[in-house]
Amino acid sequence: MSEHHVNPIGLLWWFMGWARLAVLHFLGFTNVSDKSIEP
Amino acid sequence: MNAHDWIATGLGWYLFAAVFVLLWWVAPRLGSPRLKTFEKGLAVFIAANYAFYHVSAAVLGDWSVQDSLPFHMCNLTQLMLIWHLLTGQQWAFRISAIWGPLGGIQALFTPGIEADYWFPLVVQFFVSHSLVVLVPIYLMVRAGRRLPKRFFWPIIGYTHLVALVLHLINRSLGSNYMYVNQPPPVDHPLLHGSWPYYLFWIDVALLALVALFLWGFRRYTHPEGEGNPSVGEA
Repeated sequence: MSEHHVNPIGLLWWFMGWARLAVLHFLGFTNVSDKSIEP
Repeated sequence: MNAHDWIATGLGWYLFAAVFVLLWWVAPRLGSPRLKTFEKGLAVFIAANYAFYHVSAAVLGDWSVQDSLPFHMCNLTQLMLIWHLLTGQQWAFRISAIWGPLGGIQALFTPGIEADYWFPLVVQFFVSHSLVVLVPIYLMVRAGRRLPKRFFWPIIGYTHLVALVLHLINRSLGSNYMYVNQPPPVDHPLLHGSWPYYLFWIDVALLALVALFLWGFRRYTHPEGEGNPSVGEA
């Protein structure tokens, strides 16, 4: 079954990615465009 | 009847069932001399169905840079499927094999169609999304295509890279391709909160669904000891 193995280190990278985005967001660096899109 | 009435009749699922029956029982299998011709014809059909959207939207005055460029996951998948079927490029199959079934099924359950949508375009929507779900599965199960081993993080990585590029494109166009700048305009159980919170839950679902899909289709990954065809090999 080793070929279906998912590397758990990847999950750490994934969490770190979201943590970085969260920090940037709270610091105000991720202000998305003000151009609102009509749903 | 408006588009929502048509959706309520179950039209989308009838079309899905029709595409399923055609691919499962009528389409040729690996080893059939008709397979190559069928695959080319399938590429032309996907392209014609997609072209119909563009021509109709243009004629109806609904075509816009913000909505109609082929940057949604299911549109990119259609283009990659056409490319794979015509050229045999493996990368195009591999990405569409994950994006198509997982993205297309969301659209079939919660179609982002407005009530005044033109009926032929409602049919086009359901046919195209049925194709992106079912064609990659047909290619794996019936036509001999295989996914690479240890594909989980590579496909997650490609998906995030495309999402990041589309986020930047969306910021400059004022668009919302791949729904990475605003939540999609549908009532979906996965959607919670505004940007970027809803993306986190979509991403959690993406990880879970990709893992489940790769596990479910583990028979169709390359077995241990067998080399994967290199990118670009037919």
